Amino acid sequence: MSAADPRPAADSMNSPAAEVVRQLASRERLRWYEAGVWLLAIGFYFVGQSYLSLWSQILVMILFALSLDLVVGYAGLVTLGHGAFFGLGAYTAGILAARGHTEALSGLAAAAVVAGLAGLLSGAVILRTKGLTFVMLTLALLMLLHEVANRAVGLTGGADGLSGITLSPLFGQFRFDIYGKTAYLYSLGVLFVGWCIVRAVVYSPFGRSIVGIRENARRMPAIGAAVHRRLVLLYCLSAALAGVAGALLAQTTQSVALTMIDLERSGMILVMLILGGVGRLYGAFFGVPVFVLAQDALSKQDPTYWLFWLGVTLIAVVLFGRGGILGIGDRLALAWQRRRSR
Amino acid sequence: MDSFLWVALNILLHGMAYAMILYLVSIGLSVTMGLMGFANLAHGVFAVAGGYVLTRSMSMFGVPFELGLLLAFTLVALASVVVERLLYRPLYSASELDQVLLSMGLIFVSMAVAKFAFGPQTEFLAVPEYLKHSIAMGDRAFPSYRLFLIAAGAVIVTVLWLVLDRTDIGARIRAAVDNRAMAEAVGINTDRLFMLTFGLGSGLAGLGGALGAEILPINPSYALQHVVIFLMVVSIGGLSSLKGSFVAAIVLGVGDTASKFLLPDVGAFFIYLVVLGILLWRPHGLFGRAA
Amino acid sequence: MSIARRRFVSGLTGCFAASAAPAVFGQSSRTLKLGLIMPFSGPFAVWGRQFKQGVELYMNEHGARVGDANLEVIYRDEAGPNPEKARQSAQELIVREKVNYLGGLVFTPNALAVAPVINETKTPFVIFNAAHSALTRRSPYFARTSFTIWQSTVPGARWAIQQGIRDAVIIYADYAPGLDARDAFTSAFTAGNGSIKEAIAVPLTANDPAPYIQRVMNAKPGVCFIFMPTGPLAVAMYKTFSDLGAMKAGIRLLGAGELNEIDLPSIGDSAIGVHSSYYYSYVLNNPRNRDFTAKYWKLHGASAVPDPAAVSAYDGMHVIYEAIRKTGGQGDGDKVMDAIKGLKWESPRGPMQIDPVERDVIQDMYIRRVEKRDNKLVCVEIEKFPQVKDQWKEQNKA
Repeated sequence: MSAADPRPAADSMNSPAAEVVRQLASRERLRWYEAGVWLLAIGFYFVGQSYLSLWSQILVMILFALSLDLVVGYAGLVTLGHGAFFGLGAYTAGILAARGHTEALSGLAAAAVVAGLAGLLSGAVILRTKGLTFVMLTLALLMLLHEVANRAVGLTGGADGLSGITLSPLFGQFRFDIYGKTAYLYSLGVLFVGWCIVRAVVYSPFGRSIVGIRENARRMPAIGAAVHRRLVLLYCLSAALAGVAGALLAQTTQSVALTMIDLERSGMILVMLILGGVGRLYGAFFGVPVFVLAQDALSKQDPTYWLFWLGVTLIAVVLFGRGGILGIGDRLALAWQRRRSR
Repeated sequence: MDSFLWVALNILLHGMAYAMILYLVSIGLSVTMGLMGFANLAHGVFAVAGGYVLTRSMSMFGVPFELGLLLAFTLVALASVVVERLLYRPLYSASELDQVLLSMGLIFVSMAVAKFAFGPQTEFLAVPEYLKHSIAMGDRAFPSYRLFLIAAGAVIVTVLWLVLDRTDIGARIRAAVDNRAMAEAVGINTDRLFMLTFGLGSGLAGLGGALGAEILPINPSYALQHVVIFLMVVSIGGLSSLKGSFVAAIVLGVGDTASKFLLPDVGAFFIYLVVLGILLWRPHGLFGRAA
Repeated sequence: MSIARRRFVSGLTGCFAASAAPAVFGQSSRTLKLGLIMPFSGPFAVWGRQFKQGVELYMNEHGARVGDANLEVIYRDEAGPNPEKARQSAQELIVREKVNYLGGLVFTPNALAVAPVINETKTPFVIFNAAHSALTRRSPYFARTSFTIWQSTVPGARWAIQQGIRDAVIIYADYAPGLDARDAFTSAFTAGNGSIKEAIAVPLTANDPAPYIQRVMNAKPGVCFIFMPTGPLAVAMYKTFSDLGAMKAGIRLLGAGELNEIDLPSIGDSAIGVHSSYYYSYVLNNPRNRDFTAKYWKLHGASAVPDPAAVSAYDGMHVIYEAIRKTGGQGDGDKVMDAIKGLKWESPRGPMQIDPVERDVIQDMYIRRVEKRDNKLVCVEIEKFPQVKDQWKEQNKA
């Protein structure tokens, strides 16, 4: 290519959107090491006895982060209000269990329906906006729901939260014990199913059109993709998954409280996701455990000032490690490849 | 005094004082977000820093109240410029998410540093004697510090508007806000302008935090506790709009005070409903512009 | 034998002797573990600091050895009202750290979440603050060394009646403890033929309580009962009352725990003359307290403040130590709770006991007035209600 004959750069085959789609397509095949993650998780059940409770909470958070990634990573919409769906799911499952409907799986299903419906309705209204406006709308909805949960003391227990949530043994066999054994495998199973769903969506034509919308929202209608409708559908799915995660937490910890529908939860899950790397299926799987374990260790070491180290870490990651943990991993892999090819 | 009039005056007085503080703190955020496109959730840190400068300079060094206010403005403005150079500047082209992450990290660090340096309790503001009285109106009395806040706020707002409207530097800032590329093409040093604007906005936030220490109490968790309300003022008002932020602060400040007082059961819902209503009606805020 | 070999043999003998010594003297190296959950981070970190000072003082006085075991204390951060986190901390302390006893907790919702965990594992839990009346009924393994809201509020109402006041306004923070306090005051005040003119709810998120105070001034009651969480809202409230001349207008102000020596400096001289009804202040005039405060300042420095939280933790440690002494550190949770029931001792706050039926605290309640002594603002007791039980449980027998 000589300087006198510059090819037009905006070739549809080389545009950024096409590049992303190509990357996604190449990852569609299941790699062998992906199974490794799940085998590791199952193996942990047998070795990490006293940490099962902590890890089952991490698994729940991973599911939550996965659902958030659909909206933030794949659709490119920053939201600070996803905790609303998580909380809706948690309260749905909690209220059902506290009122005598102690079967676990139907609780999850109910939570998915309630949260999904909320996602559908709110998404239909607010997905016409973007940027700061969208963020503020999600925030306002979250705070509204939080306040409702605070006020409706008869239903939600208000600030005291719901206790006395007991679940009947899973499949009639496995009791939810204090050591978290059943909780761990239950959460793992639900996370697996959730992950399969997310994976399928992301690699489907629907998923690709979502990425297309993210890359260039103005172009998509030109090729026949109804932007708003697709976004709402994705948002609804994401909300339903978040609701399932919330229900899972309520069931495995046998309690529901306002902290499951507050700003801190919404903000923290976003931080965890960004830390791991957005828009990549496994970002959640890295970001969440690293964050939760670091927070756990730091707050034990230094209960008074652990927040300082957390803040410093976040700043360092942003300044020196863009793209989160997976981003760092990418750069390391690239550097390694370059070295090998020399 | 007639009961209805008394209630109305009561709400107006306290609401407007609250609104003034909100405005002073949020205006800086509105301008920086509009001008630099930087999602700075940590703006509240400048406000609480100003509060600490005032309370500590008074209690530890015997600095008088008025000088303390001046110190709050200048020290925070200067410090903010340093922060801007070191931490924000490298990230102007970064993704929104990275900016959010950075701001969150800053908030956490500031909370820990404040707790370490000043302790976890709320700071105590020693309001000077001449502002401590109550002003009698009929058989009721109103705290004069609130009136002072309204007066001080009005003065600062007027000065701000005059500077932006009548001075050379104000014209340049307005030009850069309207169209940065054109402003640069005309020879305006936007880099330095940003620094100046950022410092000014943060200094105002520090001043707002200091003045408002009785309304928004100064404690280590301040930046996190109030990030939502500051963002609400900014988004409802419209980015980089002085008028917009002013109106938004009044609507939220007076509205919040009124609803919590008149309808304590549902008062907390008010501001969220307002945000939803206004943003759905005008997504760019009351006086914002489409990008 | 060569010198080297002699040294070797004597050394070996010495080792054997040393290892046999514990068997000879009957000492074992058994460790008992106590898990304490209290706020160390966030807006409520003052509680954690105060609790810890009380715990450390007790352990400093009595040593870490109780009977034939060493007591090891493990701290976990409660942070704030966060039931899920509290439950997780309790569960983790039991399962991972294998603690024998638990203690702490500032917030009632957290205690409610912990109840099922200690019920299942039969772990004794001494509550250092959470003040909801029904808490000790939520689990047979709860005991409390702080107070209940009814317990501190009812004497205040009775005192007001004693002073001849018959009309009152209640201003309270709109959250569960505030509602508790409102009900307690109303119940006791109306029982004495008083009437409540108005009960004003202040949202916790209200930044400026001044408009609500205007309403109190407007109503002109004989007494205004105030219930606010310790912190900026309370500070603002008293300052505004003073600015508006409430006491000059003849309204007596009656508060509770928010008037404590740590926060009084923030309120400033506005607090002088305000009454409160509570269980401890460091100027309490009894010999046990004088001894306690002297040791407190010696250990933690002259700027430390012995406050009700520190005393609750101190007494909580006493309960745990006594339980260990009585059970020899053996036996399950039920035996420990049996040992705790009916405990009586002289606390810095006065004579104190653990109710043998409800496992709750029975103590003297003081009516205090804020005064300035040696340039410091303190709550000075002017009247005492001896051995007060929690009224709510008395009225609602299980």
